[in-house]
Parts: sequence; C-alpha cells; structure tokens
Amino acid sequence: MSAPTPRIPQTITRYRRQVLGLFAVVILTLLIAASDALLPAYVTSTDTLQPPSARHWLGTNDIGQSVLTGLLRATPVTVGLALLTAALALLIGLTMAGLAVVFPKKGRAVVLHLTDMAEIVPSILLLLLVAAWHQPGAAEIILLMAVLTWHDDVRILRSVLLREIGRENIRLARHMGASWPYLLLHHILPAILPTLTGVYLQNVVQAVMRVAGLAFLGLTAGDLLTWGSMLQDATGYLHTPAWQWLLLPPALCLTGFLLVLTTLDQRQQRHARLRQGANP
Amino acid sequence: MIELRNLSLSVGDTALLQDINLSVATGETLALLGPSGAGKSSLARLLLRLLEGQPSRTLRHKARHRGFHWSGQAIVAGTDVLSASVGQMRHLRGNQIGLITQSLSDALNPQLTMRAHVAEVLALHQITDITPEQVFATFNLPPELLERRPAYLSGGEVQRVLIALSLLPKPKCLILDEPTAALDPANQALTVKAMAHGRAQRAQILITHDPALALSVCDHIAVLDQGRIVETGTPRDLQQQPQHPKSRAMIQQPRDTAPGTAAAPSGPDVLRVHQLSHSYGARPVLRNLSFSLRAGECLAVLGPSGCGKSTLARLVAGMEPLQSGQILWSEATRPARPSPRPCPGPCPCQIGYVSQFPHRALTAHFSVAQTLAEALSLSQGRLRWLLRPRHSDPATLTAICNALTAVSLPTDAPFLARLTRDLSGGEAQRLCLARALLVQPQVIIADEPTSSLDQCAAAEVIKTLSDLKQRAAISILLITHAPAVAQALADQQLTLRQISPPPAAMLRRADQGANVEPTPSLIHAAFMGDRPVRRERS
Amino acid sequence: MRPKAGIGISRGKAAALLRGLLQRLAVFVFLLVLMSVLPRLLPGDALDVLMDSDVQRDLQESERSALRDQLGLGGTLIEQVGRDLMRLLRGDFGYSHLHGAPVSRLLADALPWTALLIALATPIFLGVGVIFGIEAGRRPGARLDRIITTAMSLLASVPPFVTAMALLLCFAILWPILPTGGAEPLFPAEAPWPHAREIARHALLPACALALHEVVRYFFVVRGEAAGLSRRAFVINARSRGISGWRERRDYYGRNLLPVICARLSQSVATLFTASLFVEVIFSYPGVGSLTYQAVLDRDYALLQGAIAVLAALVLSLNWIFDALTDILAHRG
Repeated sequence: MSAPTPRIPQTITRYRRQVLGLFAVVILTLLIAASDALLPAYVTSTDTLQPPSARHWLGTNDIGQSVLTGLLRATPVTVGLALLTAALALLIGLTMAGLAVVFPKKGRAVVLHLTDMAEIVPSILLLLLVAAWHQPGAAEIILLMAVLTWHDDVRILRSVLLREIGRENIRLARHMGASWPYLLLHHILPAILPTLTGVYLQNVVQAVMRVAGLAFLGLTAGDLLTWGSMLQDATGYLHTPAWQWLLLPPALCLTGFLLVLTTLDQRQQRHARLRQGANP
Repeated sequence: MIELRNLSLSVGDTALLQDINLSVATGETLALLGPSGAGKSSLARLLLRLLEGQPSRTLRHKARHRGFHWSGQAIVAGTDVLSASVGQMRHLRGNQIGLITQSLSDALNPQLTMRAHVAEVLALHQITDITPEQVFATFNLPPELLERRPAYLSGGEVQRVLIALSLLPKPKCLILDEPTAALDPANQALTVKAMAHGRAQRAQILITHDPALALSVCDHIAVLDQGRIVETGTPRDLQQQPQHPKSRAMIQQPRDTAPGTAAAPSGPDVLRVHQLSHSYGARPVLRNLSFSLRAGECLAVLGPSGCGKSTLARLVAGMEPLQSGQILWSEATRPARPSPRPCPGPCPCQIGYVSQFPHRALTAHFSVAQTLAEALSLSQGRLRWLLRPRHSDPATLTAICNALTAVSLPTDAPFLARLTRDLSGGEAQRLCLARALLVQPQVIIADEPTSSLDQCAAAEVIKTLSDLKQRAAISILLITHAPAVAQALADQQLTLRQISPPPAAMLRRADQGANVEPTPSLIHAAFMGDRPVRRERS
Repeated sequence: MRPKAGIGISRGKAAALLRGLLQRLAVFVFLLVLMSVLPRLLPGDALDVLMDSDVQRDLQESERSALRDQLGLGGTLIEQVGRDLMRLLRGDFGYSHLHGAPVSRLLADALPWTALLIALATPIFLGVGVIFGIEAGRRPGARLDRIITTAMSLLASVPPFVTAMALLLCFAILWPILPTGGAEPLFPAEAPWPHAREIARHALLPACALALHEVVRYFFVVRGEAAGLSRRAFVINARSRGISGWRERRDYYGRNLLPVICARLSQSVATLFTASLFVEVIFSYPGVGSLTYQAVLDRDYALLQGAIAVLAALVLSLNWIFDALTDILAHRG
C-alpha cells in the first residue's frame, strides 16, 4: 500500500529542521577547523592605528594588525567556544537531570542539593580566582564555563524528563514490554528535543556573554583571539578617533550574533508553543 | 436591559455562537442553557469586553486569525458594548453591568483582605453611605471574614463575597456565569438567595448547563445547541412541552431513561475480581470490591469522579501493582505465545487498554502506521532494543489495515503517514482502540473513552465499541461517569461510591437512590457493607 | 489588620531556610579552601607565584624565608590551608604590600563606593523593569507590548560591558556632560552640598550602566508573570467590577508580583556584583570590583583573598536574606 520508495524523501521532509541543523553544525565545524589555513595571517606591521582604507578595510590596531583579519580569525574561535561550552554544560545538566530522575530518594536529594549549591556559587569570584593564577586557554575556558553554568539547565530538563517518562504512552508501551533504551531513543528523546534545543540556545547566549566578558577583562590566555579580547584592546583608545574602527566592529559582531541567537530562540519557542497548542 | 442582536462569536474559523438574538428586560432573569464548552463563558466576557479579540470586520485574514472575533450588536444599558470605546467600557463595568463567574479558587486578589476588596469598590463608585461591615451584614456574611485573605475563605463564602462586590454599585445588568457550578447544595441555596438580592431593579442573564438551576430561578430560558438558540420559553413551557429535541434531551434527561432490553449474554466468566482493595498512602480508594465479567459482555462501572474508577481500570489492566484482593482471568485470556517479558501481576497480556485522553496515550511524533507497528511488534515479542519497528512488510501492513478497518478508520497511505498529534480527538481514540485490537484481546478496558471528546467524536467511539462487542465478541470493561454512555453500551452496570465521607447533602441523596437490599446477582460490589450498590438491568 | 496565620513561617519553610543557610556556608568554606589550595597546587615555588616579581627581586634569602613564614607557607598542605582558613575567619586579611595598607582598610574604603553604585542602580532597574513589565504584560500581544518587548530584546542582545562603554562614549567623551571616571574630582569641594553633587555626577553613568544590565532581566520576568496574572480569574473579576488604572496596576499586579520580584532580587545580588566589576573597571570607579580586578592583574594575593572572602560572604548572605523574604511573601499569597 505504501510503496517503499517515497519513504526517504518523506523522512527528510519530516526531519527537515533536524537535517538542516545537522548540516549547519557539520559545515560550521569544518569552517572552524579550516579557518586557520584559509584566512590571511594576523601579522604586525608598522601601519599602526590606521583608519579604514583600501588596504586595511577596517583599519589597523596599535601594533599594526589588520582589524578585519582579526575579526575574521576571532569569529570561529568565539562561536566555537560558545557552542562547545553550551554543549558541555547541556551534557552535564542532562546527566544530572537524568540522575535526579532515575536515582531513588536519597540519590535524588544529593543531586538536587548539588544543583542548589552550584547555583549559589558566585561564579565571577571563582573565575577571578582561577584567572589570577593561570589565564585559561580555549579548552580550560570551555571546561570552566560549563562547570559554572550547568546548574541552569537541571531543573527544566528534570521536569521535562519526569513529564515525558510519566506520560501514558510510555507507561503503556512499557506495560506492553518495550525496553527502556528503545523508549528513550524513539519516544522520549524526540519528545524532549524542542526543550533541549531551547535550553541549548540559551546556554549559547550565556556562554557568549560570559566568555566575552572574561576576555574583555583580559583574563583569558594572551594568544586566544576573540571578539571580547579585541574589545579589550579597544578600551585604551576611547579618547581617540580610533575607537570607531577598533571598538565598533567587534561590538557589532557580538551584538549581531547574540541577536541571531535570541531570535532563533524566540522562533523556536513560538514553534513549540504552536505545536503544543495544536495538541492539548 | 440587555439586548443582543445577531450576535456571533468565533474563535479562529470555528463559530462558537451564531446569530444570537435575545432581549432581557429590567427585573427579568433569562437562562442561557447549553452544554459546557460551547462558548457560553466567552459570551459572558464579551458582554463586558473582557475577551481578548476583535470585531470580525476588522480581520484581514479570517482563516489565519487564531483569536476570538465577533459581529452583531450587544446593547447593555443603552450602549452597544461591541462598539464602545475603552473609556465608555470602563464607565460601564461595575456601574451598569456586573459579572459573576464560576471559578472560585482564584476569584479574589490573594494579597488583599475582604475589607480591602469591599473598600476598593466603595471608593471606586463613591459609595459613602455604607461601611464594609454593613455590606457584609446585608449579604449574610459573618463579619469576622472582613480581615481575612481569600485563602482562608470557603468556596461558598468567596462566591457570596463576589456577589456582594458585584451588586454593591447596583448594576442595571448582571451576567451570572455558572455561579453555582462549584458549590455544594447548601451553599448553592445561599448563593441563589444572594443573587436574588434586589433583582427587580436589574436585568440578569444566567449562563448555565444545569437545567434544574435554570428552571428554578429564571423567568425565561433560551436553549443553546451548536451555537444557535433553538428554543426560548418560560420554564413551565419548556418543562411541559419542549419543542426542540435538544431541549427535551437537556431538560427532561434525568427522568427519561427507559432501559433497553438487550439480552444479557451468557458466556463463561473471563474476569473475576475478588475483594479488591486499594489505597494511595493513607487514603483508601477501593474497598472490598468484587465483580465478574462474562465473555462478550460489557460491564459499565459508573461513579462520581475521584471514587477510584480509573484506579480500578489500571489495576485490572495490570498497570498498577495489586495491593490486596484478587483479579482472576479465565484460561482463554492467557497469551497463546510466551510473552517477551512476564507481565507484572496476574494479568495476561491479551487485554487492550483505552484511556481517557487519547493524545496522551499516543506518542505525538509517531505516525499512525508506526504506532500500530510498534504495538504489533511488542505483542509478538519482536521488538528488540533500539530498532524502530518496520511497517513495510505485507504481513504487518495487512494486520495494521485490518485493525484500522475494524475501528472504521481509513487505511490509505496518507492517513498511515499522518502523525498522531495531527489526528482529531475521535480519530486518536479510535487509533488507540485499533492499537488495543492488535493484541487480539479478549477484554478491552476502556477508561472514560469518551469524556475528553466532543459529542460527535464520542458517538463515533461508542459506535465502534458496540460494533466490536457484537462482531468480535470482545468483553468490555467500561469505566465512565456519564450514564448515557453506559446506557448505550453496557449489559450490566455497577456504581461506585466515594469511600471518604462525602458532604452531608451528597450522602443523603445517595442513600435515597440506593437499593439497600442485598441482591443475588452476578455483580457484587460492596463498599464497607453499609454503602450499598445500585443494580440496574441485571 | 492582617490575619495571624498570614505572617508566620511554617516548619517546612524554616527547615528549607536552614538548609539554604547550610548550603551557603558549605559553598563559602569551599571557596575559602579553594582559594588557599589553588596557589599551592600549582607547580613551582608558591612564593614566586604569590609575590609580584618586582617585590621579590629586592629580597634577600633570609627575608624570603621570613616572608614564607609570614605568608603561612610552612608545614604540610593541610596545615597551611587550616591556618589560612582560621586566619580569614578571624577577620585577619593580612597586608597588601603593593598598596602599602592592610587589606581590611582597603576593602573598607572601596565597599561604600560599590554600595553607592548598587544603591543608585537598584531603584532605576526595579522601577523601569517593573513598570514596563506590567504595562507590557497587562495586555500580552497588544501593540504596546510588542514595541516594548522588541526594544528590550534588542537591549538584551548587547553584552552589558558594551552598553557601559557606549554610555561612557556618548555621555562622557563625544558629548562630555559627565565625568569619564573616578568617584570624585581630584580636588573635592569642601562644602558638603557641592561635594555630594560631584559624587552624584560621577556615580550617575556607572549606576545607569549597572541598571541597564538588570532592567532587561526584570522586564522579562515581570512581563511573563504579569501576562500570567492578566489571565487569572481575580484580575478579570476585578476588571468586571470596574477596577482599572493605577489601582489595578498597584493592588492587582504589583502586590502579586512582589514574591517574584523578591525571588529575582536574591539572584540579582550575585549578578549585580559581577556587573559592578565590569562597570567599575570601565569607569575606573574605585569600588571593590576594580580593587579586586587590580589585585588579579597585580597578583596581589593577600588583597585578592580578602576581597573574595568578603564578597562571597556578602553575596551569599544577601542572597539568603532575599530568599527568606521571598518565602515569607509567597507564604502570604
């Protein structure tokens, strides 16, 4: 009755969003990996603090590096850091939420207490403390930020997991003999995917802000070029006209990226709401 | 006075109310009687312009608009509220037109005391000749309530405070939206008394689904069906000679229940429940319940909500561990194949379970075919680990189509590919039935199969169930609170009562209607010995 | 006026508060321990790390060992950490060699400035956030709501330090009507009133930058809650009785939003200190934030340790107090 041939395109249309998202992630990863080789070298020169010209489209900084090259080179680093930090935080949060769901009473209390404590740690103090001894590089930033932010996700993920696991369809399927791995993969994961996406997007926004803030304070490793560290370079030139090409480009990039993320997040929320509205 | 002319109200592209024409003179009370969920409460809010929405003519894309929109005229105290400005409406509300709503749990500001509520209204309408104490005395409210916040008031007290607040400015028109729905009879009487306070000076519209209330307090009754007024008349007329079949059904329903004469099938027992008791923590839900179910028979379990009906269904289906008592199945229901996993408890896998909320029982992102293929694989013990069940091989497809045909759902490819979240309530419930059928059950346990569906869909599901009973000789354990559903399907009925002591009034009524004689019958359901069971048609 | 039952805290609530207090104590001790363990775990001579190299160069070996004892670097790790903890808990924060002053005095000098900024910013962000939030949430989806929400979403996408720099650029450099930095002019006025005016002028921009950072959060929280309230039966009933305008916003929205705002405040304590760090650095304002930041850059360990201990104690205790307040308010509702 249903011929096997139309099934593949059908699957693609049904999971179009997911497929597109996966595609974007793959391309982004490739770009980030290849960016070092693709982009022109970020070299110093004697043309210091030049305003934008035909040679240097966005001018140069105090040691004669082209701002445009810096901006291009900082983009994959900044974006990659944010995406990876958010992913790691989500992973930790999801694990903790999962533990809080499956553990019996005692273990659950431990996990929830841990989350509570993580919530009240003043993260900026911890960051200052660490940065005072060792200015973190890319890997350390990802680890540090994820450890400091995972607690934001636990509550919402736990409630979603509890809701899905307690749903009647899961209870019925379980009653009919389905195994937990099967249920997780085919019933629960697709159902919580919208929530996961939303939480991830918010994580990315937070990570962008925090990493940029840390870099802006000059507390990241010196060779780590991000939009935040470019902003930090610009702070010394607010009293000269150079702020126009030193401050504005990274600030606009940062704001633009955050705007894209929040718009995506809002669209995703609206989409989820609409879908929920259609099915009470 | 209130006059509605050609009033229509829609949400999105579905019409809730169409061409409503009504007029209520000062001193009159008109009841708008209709089934719940028909847009009556929205009408009440519309008359005070508290409904978020807009006039239909200002809509550009009617089909795409998801909110409320309306057309026509509603003249309240000389002003057309549907075209009144914001300032005009602000003046009208409270002064000229009042509203009393049904929800009581959240009806007053939780942060303000009763005195603050009263003082607020007095200040707003510049009433200086009366103190809050006098207000409370007038409306039969104890004065110590004045210093309390709403959390420390009972439902009946909240309702009377609300009525007092609405009547204080002496509005010329009053809309009462199910004012007594959430109250027990004693409080209902008090509320009705409070509503009568000064009613000669105003026009009232009482919106209700309770014919008894409408008949007792109103001068006129308008019967609403599918968004239209089908009949208007005085309570006397409607009671004696209702013209429209709907009004007859609505008003005379309680008396007009002639039992059918279906021959009780006389197969062997498939299910025996013996001395079943269950409790959640310290709260007992079921106590010493015994009954049995014969092959090809439908047994309806009736009772008010919260009396343990759903618990019974889940216990029998084996979805909840048995605490005490026995559930015995006949040999015929034992699974022919060894099941992949021993079923918990004594239940065989060959029962189908259909629940109250079909969309909750289905996985939203599964297609119809996937849902059924999964059930089939599970029942045959073929589902292993992570692989998604396939539904392309002919045997599976045939089984799926057979099941769909049995519940009169289409079997074409587009329908098979539809996601369950896009199905209507009726379709989803029938899909649940189809899924239950794939297990080739001897017994189907249907827990309120129609209560979340609209009338049309409910009728489809009932018809499907009765088809199944007759053609496939499947026994049905039907759990419901609606006597009409039980009438339509059941060969036997069994009524459960609340175990925790009900309010005094309810208990009295229950005792009058109950048959105290112990009856030698197939059905024994005894609750604590002294709460007898009603036997009908056995 | 109020019923007695409305004020007290139930036993469960008290237990929850006590648990919160214990959790905060645990976090505080954890921070202190981390603070004293971290430098000692790093490779190399802890003294090299602890002391700025400029200071070290002039030291003789005997002075070095004396300093070692003074800094508590003798004995095993646990002994050292224990000594550190006891010293901090006694309130002895040591001496900052770089500033040439006891840490406690440096902190005591800096704290009032930070407190001034936060005290000025709080009414701004509370007022603006709550008023706009109620206005937008009262009629969700209306034109006013769409305009305000869009503007706030835009503002939310700008990192707070960028907003602070934009403020500095606009109102102090391009259009110099306000001072660019510091808390008071080099030569403060003698008379009290002009002096106060100078201080206010200096604090205005940083306080606004701080407030802008928090306004967005409050706006979204309040708008969401107000949108929820606008659908609740008691608000609709009140409107049907003719209650509108100021009375509706204050008694029906404001009072019911109080617990949410309070809960949000408890989280704000930490974010405000974080934001004040950025703001103070950008406006070179002499508060705790810039002091701490300077300590990090200078590796002034004693000062950093003292600042972090004091800030952590402040943040944690304030945040607990607001939590307790929220519980009391919520209990009433």
